[in-house]
Amino acid sequence: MTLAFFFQQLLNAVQLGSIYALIALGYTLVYGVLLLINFAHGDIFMVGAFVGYFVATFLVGQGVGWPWGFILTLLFSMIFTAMLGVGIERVAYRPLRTAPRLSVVVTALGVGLLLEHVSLGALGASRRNLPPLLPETWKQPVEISILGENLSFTWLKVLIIVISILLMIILQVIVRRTKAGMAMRAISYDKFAVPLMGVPIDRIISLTFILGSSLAAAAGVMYATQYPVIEPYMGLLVGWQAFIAAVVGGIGDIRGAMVGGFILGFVQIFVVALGQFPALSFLSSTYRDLVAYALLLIILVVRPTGIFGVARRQKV
Amino acid sequence: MAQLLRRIKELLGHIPLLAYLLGFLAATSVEIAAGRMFGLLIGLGGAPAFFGVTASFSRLNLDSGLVGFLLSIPSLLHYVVLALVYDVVIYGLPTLIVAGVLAKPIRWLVSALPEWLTGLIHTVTLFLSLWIWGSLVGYRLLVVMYIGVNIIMTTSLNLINGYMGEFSCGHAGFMAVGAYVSSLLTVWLFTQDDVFGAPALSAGWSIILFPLILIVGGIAAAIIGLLVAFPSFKTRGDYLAIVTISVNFIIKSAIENIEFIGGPRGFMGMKGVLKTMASVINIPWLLIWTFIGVLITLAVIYNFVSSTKGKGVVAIREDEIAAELMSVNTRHTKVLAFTISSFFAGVAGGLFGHVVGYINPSTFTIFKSTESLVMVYLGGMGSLTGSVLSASILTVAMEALRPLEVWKKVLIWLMLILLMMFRREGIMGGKEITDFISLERLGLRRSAKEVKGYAPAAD
Repeated sequence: MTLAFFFQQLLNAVQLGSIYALIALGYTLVYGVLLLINFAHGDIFMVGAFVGYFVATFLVGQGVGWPWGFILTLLFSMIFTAMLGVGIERVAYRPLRTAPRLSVVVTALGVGLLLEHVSLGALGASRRNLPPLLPETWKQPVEISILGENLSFTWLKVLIIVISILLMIILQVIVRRTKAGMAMRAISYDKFAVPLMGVPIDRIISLTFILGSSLAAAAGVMYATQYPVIEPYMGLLVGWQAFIAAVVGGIGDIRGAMVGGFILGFVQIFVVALGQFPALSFLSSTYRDLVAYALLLIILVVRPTGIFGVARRQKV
Repeated sequence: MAQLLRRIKELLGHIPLLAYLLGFLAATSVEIAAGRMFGLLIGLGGAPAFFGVTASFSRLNLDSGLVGFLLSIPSLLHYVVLALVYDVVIYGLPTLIVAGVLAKPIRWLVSALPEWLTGLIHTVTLFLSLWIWGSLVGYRLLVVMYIGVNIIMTTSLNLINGYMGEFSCGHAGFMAVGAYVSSLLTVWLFTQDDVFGAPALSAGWSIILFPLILIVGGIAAAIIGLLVAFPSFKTRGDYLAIVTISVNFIIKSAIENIEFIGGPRGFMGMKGVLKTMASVINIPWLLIWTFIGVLITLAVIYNFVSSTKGKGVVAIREDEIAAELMSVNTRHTKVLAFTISSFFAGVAGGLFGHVVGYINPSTFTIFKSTESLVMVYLGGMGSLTGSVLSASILTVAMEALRPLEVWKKVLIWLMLILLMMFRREGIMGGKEITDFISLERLGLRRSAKEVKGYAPAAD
């Protein structure tokens, strides 16, 4: 493996991993607070991408281009999707807060499938492309020479990585440095005592959904700029991978979601990359998902709490 | 008014089940004789295929906007009224008349015959009425077989999700394994196929081997089911849901990667198997095996959950740790439950493959699994009759809603969400139909005073 090839794949992996990490954060935040696997989150990502598509089409039609077009698309998509996330929690999850956990999980699954098929019915199954929000040259490979090797990268990948890391830092600041963030952490620590301390639990839960959904929307818009496929089933395809990332890292743990996202990105990119070598040609790209799910199963059997997760002791 | 209703209820409730079944058979012969004519007469354009249920929604106009849709609603209502008239005249009245006439003799018959024989008579009558009624329109048989497959899927999933209280969400994966294994075997053994070449065995074998192959498919699925059972020792609830979903994805992805059996394009040739079987003896083999499959599934799962081992399954649902302390071997019980459940899912898959005649990995996705989940929760967790009921209702509903295309799915998922909000216990609420109507009343069991030498125990 040449250094240039390795570097290129590394960049791909970090870029894919950062998108996974952003979505995985949404799973993990909700799980941390509500102990609910929000199966609808992948489809919230899909809705984010679709909102981005419509906003971008409108803006490009109005002649708004780089950089405001991109920023506005990202912002609008994040706001709308955050509202959707909060709405879903209000309507579907809140009435079930005292219900057995299984019912909430089933509801979440149902909400996800509902979103998928509503968008399928309303928008059709055809794949859509995001209109060009970025200068075309950003998608062209740029070559630089380091240590005598020609390394190539695209600015788009760098942009995605930078924005993702920025968003993750903002999230960290909110969770670690603000009062609301402290309340979130407290609720995930003890759901019964914290409301007694005067913490408005409903508002904190809404905040959690706002944070998670808007991160998913950002991931959706960025995914759509990189890969030209916006379709109703993308939540099923990409969202589930991100979910695996969250579980691998340890669902409920923010660091876990980030690390898990990058791990999954690396594994998937390198499975495909290694398949390009003649000796390993059996590793076709269709094995990507298979490897991801196998990784998930292994983690769940060996260490069900993931890398960072702490086992919750069940008291007898 | 209330008096009248109670009187009617009493009268109808007094008629044994067998009389209703025979009444339905009679109604079917009425339909053979006059159904088409009557349908034409009242303006239905012939006999409706499925009580008029499945055709009614095609009256809706979905292509020309909201106004067109609203304007087409009266035509839907018109059709529904006509279909109701048809159902009452052709099915309702003959069934009730014949059942009323036969009620007394059949009560006497039931009290005179041994129970196993009455059971057999009921089964055979049910099968005959399904067969004869179904043969009138090919589509009916198809729907009946879909219902059978879904009943097997739902009851077997109910064992895990309802009785054991675990959350398995990848049942379609096991179905896929069963479907592929049994379809590959039958196509290899009994038909001329592009992949396998000439049939490996003579046609006569197909009749004997078909059920065995279904069982082999079930066993293959059960082996995969073990894959899920082992993680379930360590994980429960949400995490087990993840495991099962990923098993479902893995199975689908694995099948897509095997080029030899068609990969993502799917596999076909099962219609040829049915032709081979029909060429030996021309009876509806697939209907017979679906029917028997449903009966065996119900019997096995009912007996399992009533057994000591099966009570352990329910104990795990209530409290796993307490169950362990009360000497329930939770690991053993879980393995057993998962194996039984995935076995039957595999059998259902085998039947499904042959009913449809074409299987394809994208049939067995998480959508299919969730459909089964909806059926389990609609019927009620831990209720077999509930599962049978909801599988039948939903299968017919899905056929009826076919004209709505994607929105059909939307309605189903919406129903799942509403169900979880407003009636979590489903239709039956964990009870069986026999909790409401006794077997004696249905005429399936002799009442205590009719059994010779029976003396009630003194309190």
